[in-house]
Amino acid sequence: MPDLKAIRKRIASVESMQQITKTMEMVATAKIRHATERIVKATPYSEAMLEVLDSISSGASSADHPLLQEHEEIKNILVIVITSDRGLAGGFNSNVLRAAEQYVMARQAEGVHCEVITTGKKGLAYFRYRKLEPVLEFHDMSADPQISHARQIGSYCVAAYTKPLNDDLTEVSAEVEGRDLIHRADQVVLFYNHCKNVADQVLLQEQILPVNQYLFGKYADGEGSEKIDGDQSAIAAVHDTKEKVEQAQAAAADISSAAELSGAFEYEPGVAEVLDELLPSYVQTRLYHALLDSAAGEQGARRKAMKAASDNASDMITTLERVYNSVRQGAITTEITEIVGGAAALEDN
Amino acid sequence: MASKFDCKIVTPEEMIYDSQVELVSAPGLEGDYGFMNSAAPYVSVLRMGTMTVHEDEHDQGRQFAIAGGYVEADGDKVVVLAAQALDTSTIDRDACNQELTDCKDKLAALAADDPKAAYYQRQSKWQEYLLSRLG
Repeated sequence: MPDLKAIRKRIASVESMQQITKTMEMVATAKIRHATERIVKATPYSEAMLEVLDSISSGASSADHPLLQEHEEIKNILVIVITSDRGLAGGFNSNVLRAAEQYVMARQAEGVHCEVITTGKKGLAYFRYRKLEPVLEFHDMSADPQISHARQIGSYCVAAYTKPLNDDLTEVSAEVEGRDLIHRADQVVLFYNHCKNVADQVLLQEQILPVNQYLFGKYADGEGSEKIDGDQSAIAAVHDTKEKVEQAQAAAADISSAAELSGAFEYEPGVAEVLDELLPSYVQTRLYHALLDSAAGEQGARRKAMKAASDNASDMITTLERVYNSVRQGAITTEITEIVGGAAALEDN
Repeated sequence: MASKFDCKIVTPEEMIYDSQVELVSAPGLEGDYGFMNSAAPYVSVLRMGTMTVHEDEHDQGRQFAIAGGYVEADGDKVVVLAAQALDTSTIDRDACNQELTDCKDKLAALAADDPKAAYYQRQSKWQEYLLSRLG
């Protein structure tokens, strides 16, 4: 027969665990609000920037800017993975990490070298364990990302993307000294969790560089990114993006011919110089948004996970209490039977 | 009285200023600009410097230090996209000094070709500029 005292102890421990998960749920709920407010605050800047970029790309001929041009041969891809510092957030980190790893493995199988940039301890530990040391990493910031983080990642990406072609890639495999050097990257891809609403996160894959100017007008609606479903392979997502871009290019060609007729902007000192400043900022802004979005998503995921844990604890307590009661009842019944039996034996005598 | 138009100063983190103004002056790469209502469509790169907004033609104007960015003017609105911006009356000398020391410490600890170094160089320039504003 199970020990009554042991069951009582078990109930007490589940109850205290439930208290912890309930508190974490409440903390996460409060943090979601803070995180969402930051996204709202950051929106005017990105909207204003998109407006400027949209007017430039539809008006003047800007396609020859290095950040807008695709590299002919893709030898090295920079993969940015945004994760959290702490766990206890359900599948939040594992989803994004799995998708990024699948993507890296698929590209490596095609003979393309991949480098990763991680934010959050989880991503760092994951790739380090797999012997893929991040070229740049940030930790202890996932819950409160600053623009400085986005700036540093952004300037790294721009430096890598615009690095001249003569950079010898054999350097990359010569691991030791090559670590602190920036290697030329031919594409920059970002993986992160988009906070669709308080309860749901959507895993997104976005191409950061080359900047896809045909999606400027659409970025605000999140159309520039690819949603990845659980069973959809990362490669399929890339092909989908290409198709979408071609459609957008066709549409943009119509718009730009119309825009030439209307009053165009004047650029000081010149279109190229404005783009030189604007495009790196655009990259940084997108990264900053992704960091904020992921931070909000992290809290959402944690709240959901902690709610599920609290509910499970409630169920467990109910079950344990039933067992406890039936065991106690059993013990009482046994005692009564023994007393009755004893009394009957005395009577017989 | 000149007619008013909408002026916004935004940084990636938040909107710093949003109001109806009569005159805006901003530090361009090749000299300062002034914008009034019905400005021609114009996009320009800004240098690190101080911009002034006049809500009324004859007021002293409010000054904002900005760490570079762009200005977009289009008829009835002027939008300043600043990398960083601060109302000059709210500059805190101690905070700037603290930040500057932090940046320099971090720079000293990093190798010259470290990808993070460029950021701290820019940041320390910005703090130095803020301190120079205080005189």
